[in-house]
Amino acid sequence: MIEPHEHRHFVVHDGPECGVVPSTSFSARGSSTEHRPFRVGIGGPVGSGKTALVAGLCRLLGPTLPLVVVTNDIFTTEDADFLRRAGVLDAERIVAVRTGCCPHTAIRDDIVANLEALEQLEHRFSDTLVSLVESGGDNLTAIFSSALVDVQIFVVDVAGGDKVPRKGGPGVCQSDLLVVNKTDLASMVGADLGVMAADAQARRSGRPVVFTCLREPSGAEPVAQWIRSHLADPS
Amino acid sequence: MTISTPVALLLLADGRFPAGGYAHSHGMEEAVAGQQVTDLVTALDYARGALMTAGLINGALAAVSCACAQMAPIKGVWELLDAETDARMPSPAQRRVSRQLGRHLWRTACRIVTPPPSEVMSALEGLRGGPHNCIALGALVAGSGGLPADAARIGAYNLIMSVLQAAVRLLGLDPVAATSAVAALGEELEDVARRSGELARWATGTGEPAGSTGEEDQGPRSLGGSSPWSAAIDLDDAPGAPGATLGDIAEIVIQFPACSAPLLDYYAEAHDGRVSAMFAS
Repeated sequence: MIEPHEHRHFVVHDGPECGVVPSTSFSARGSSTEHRPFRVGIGGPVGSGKTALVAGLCRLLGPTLPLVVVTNDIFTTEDADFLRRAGVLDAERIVAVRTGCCPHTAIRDDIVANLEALEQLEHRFSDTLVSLVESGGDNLTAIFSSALVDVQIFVVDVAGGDKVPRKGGPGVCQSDLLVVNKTDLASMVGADLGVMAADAQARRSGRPVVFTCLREPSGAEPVAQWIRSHLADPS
Repeated sequence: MTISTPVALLLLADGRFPAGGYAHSHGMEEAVAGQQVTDLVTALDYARGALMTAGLINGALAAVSCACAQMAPIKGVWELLDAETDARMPSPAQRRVSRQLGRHLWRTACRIVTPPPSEVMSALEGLRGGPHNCIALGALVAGSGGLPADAARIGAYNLIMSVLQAAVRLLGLDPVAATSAVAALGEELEDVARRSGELARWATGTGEPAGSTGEEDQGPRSLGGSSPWSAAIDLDDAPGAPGATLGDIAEIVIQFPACSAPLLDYYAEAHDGRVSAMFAS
């Protein structure tokens, strides 16, 4: 058994995040949530609605729960720019991290850049209660490391076909919350929401699934409620 | 718990070591965007150029950092090496990346391999922005029981592997051919490691155990080679540990290679201003 050495920290002066970077928590899930904001990972395939969900959560949670957001765009800073333009959150509370063509690596295998970005934001905005990490669009195997986030949400959409929950994979099966988005398109793409719900239930051993239409102004409310319930009862 | 030196060095050299290196192309993304690199041949040329310029600078500074971390502490030596590294990186973007990778390496490696002595740790953590990657690597190799040339070799290997791996991802090159390109640079890589090790010995007078570089008896103790910076160096002038002072080391390190590649500096700056990019550098 390797004893963890004391966590390392530096004085950082370059880039927009000034000040002393606080000591780092590499600890396992949940063990240090009393000392830092609640960290929520949001993953899912390209175009499923991750950025729309983040924007919706900023609108619904932001007024009462101070937030910061780290995005992992694949090609551009488009997601971060979209959030800044949408005016749902102070632009300085949003940081984009580039992931060298490997969005899954940044949230699962080598999380150091995302961890540092989170810590710098959380230190700079010490009122933060919830930190969101939006993964770059990936495939059904993407999953967050428990050393990066406390809970993770996986977003799939109806337009990808009603077979997606049945296909499974770590994102669908192991995420703490599965979001099935774009319910408004179900009839147009011939997707059966009942089949999706039943398959998801079967795949997820009782873990929760919500159906959303994130184009609606309060479409993210079921997810916002789920996050609030974790803050009220951090079990 | 102690990790053996060979295992520690394998870990530090591994591209899967979780210290953020996978997200950096070291200018390759910019070179591909500008169509200066279009295939395996041009990718190999790029990697060789990076190795013989930035790779040599970083190798020499990693090696001397390793040697300094193994000596009795000399007040101010880490600030000196930090400044000498900055002085060899004209591009502010490249400096930021170098410190970012250094912080990432440090926080990851200190939990895995044996860290350097506590005075070295606190000195490196006191550097503003965190240590440059080459300095962090040198200190970590020292803590692991490795030699200055090992630090240079690992740093230079990581550089060419990152560059060619980025080319694989950006151009869809044959991964076997790209990895064999890394192997094809083996002689140049070893040359960077050897020269870096000798520069570190010259600067600190620490010496290296016999057989460490495989080239202990080469006649006159000069660096040889064809690079302009190597001709005037005479290792008999080494100040000699443990009496080496900060001034002794400074006098030598200031003569270290300063052969940064203008194109790499340009690419680093151009990439930094890019809205659309996949890699962090």
